[in-house]
Formats: sequence, C-alpha cells, structure tokens
Amino acid sequence: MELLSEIRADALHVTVGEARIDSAVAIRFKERMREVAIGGPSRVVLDLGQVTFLDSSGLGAVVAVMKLLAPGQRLELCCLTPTVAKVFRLTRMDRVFTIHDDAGAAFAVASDCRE
Amino acid sequence: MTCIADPARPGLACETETGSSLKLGFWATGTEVRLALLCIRRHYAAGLGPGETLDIAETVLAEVLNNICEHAYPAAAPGRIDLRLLSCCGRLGAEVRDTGRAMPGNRLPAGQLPQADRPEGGFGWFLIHALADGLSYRHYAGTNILRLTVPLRDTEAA
Repeated sequence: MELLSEIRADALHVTVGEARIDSAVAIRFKERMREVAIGGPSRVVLDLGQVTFLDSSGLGAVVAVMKLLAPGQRLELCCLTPTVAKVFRLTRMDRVFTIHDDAGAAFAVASDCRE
Repeated sequence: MTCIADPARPGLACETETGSSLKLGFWATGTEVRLALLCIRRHYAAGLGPGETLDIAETVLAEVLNNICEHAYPAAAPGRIDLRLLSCCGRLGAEVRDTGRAMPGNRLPAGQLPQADRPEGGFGWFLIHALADGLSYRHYAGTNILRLTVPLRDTEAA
C-alpha cells in the first residue's frame, strides 16, 4: 500500500498511490495511515485522486482511520474520483467527512497565507 | 478475447464463452476477488456502448464476493466461488455460486444503512440493494445461488 505524505502548511497531505482500496488491502491501508499520521499535524488531508475503486471494506477502513487519529487530529478528504464519490454519497458518509473537490480547495487557506 | 489469470495464482480459472458471457472460478480470498474483478473489467470494457460503464457492476460484484469471503467460508479455509456473467441490452446479469454457509434465515440480508455513528462496516448489502435489480437467492443442495442484474449506464445524476 503506497502512501505519499508531505507536510503542507499546517496539514499533512497524504496521497494514496494506488488505484484500489479494497478488501485485499484495507487492513494494510489502515495500518500505513496510522504510521504516517501518528504524531503529525492536527489536520490530515487524505488525497484519493488516484483511487478509482473503493469497496465497503475500503470505506470502512477510511472511517476507521478517522477514528484512530489522536483526539486533536481530524481527517479530511480530497479529490474523490466519480466512482469513489458515489460510494461516499450512497452510504451518506459524505456527511461524516469534510470533502474538498481538489487539493487547491483543501489547502486554500495555506496558499492564501503564502501570498 | 482470452483472459489470462496470473500464473503465480493458479486459483483463478477464466473461461471465455463468447463476447457477452464470461465464466470464472476462483478461491474466496480478497486477492482472487480482486483478480476476478479485473478480469471482468478486461473482458467487458471493449464492448461497452457510449455512456456505459462497468463501475456499478464492479461495486456490486465486489460486495457480493467479499460477503462470500467473509461470511460463507471460514477465513482459514476459503472455498470456491463460481461466477457466470452475461451482458445484454445495457445490463450485466450475474449468477454467483458458492458452497459455504447459507445466508442467515435462508434469505437475502436487508439492505439498511448501518445505524452506528461512524460505522466501519455493514455497507455491503446496502450498496447491493441500492445498485442492483432482480436480486434472488436460494440455497439448494449445499450451494448458495445468488442472481442479480446491474445497469451498465449510470442514470443517477452526479
């Protein structure tokens, strides 16, 4: 499970470098997210722009990541592809997460600060 | 078109009958389910009409197959899944067979959204009911037989 993470202004930007978060990788995804997010900034933005398929195991894993973050940390999502967005919408999990259309929106506050 | 399974994972047998039908047999594990779904996508992608997509079919079949992996067979001893697919008239029909445990009460689970505040599971049957039509299930002679169809066109407004 490839995750690329970088500190971006006040947040941790984590990009999933794979096309699928399914039952074959859901547990590994959760564990890797725990590793990269632990002790990190309070805002964690998970970039799903390369993920074209997410099943209910993957969705459950994303919810689990939200719950395993430290009390002061929060998980936000960005760049959902249409199929992934549909799964979030159908299951109403789009109401549980803050979802940004793209990385620009997710880090809009940060870029304003730089200008 | 032939669909070659990964030779390192000989569990996946893929037999192409015609362009519109496909028969697959594989072990009920997450890895083989993934291979089967990729195989289905490869088989049907070229024949899709304008505006048609395999995304709904893949989501529904993933949930059905994951349920078999998680609930029909013991995790330590996964059994076989046999899947027959037929595409016709803008839809994909599927018949899924396994020889694991029957569904509770010998009927299809309800498709309600999980009631927990931030649920980590329980979405599978909700998604199946929301996206598939013509669902039927029976347990006959030790075999679970699930049939369904899914549209190849996403009519839901984005």
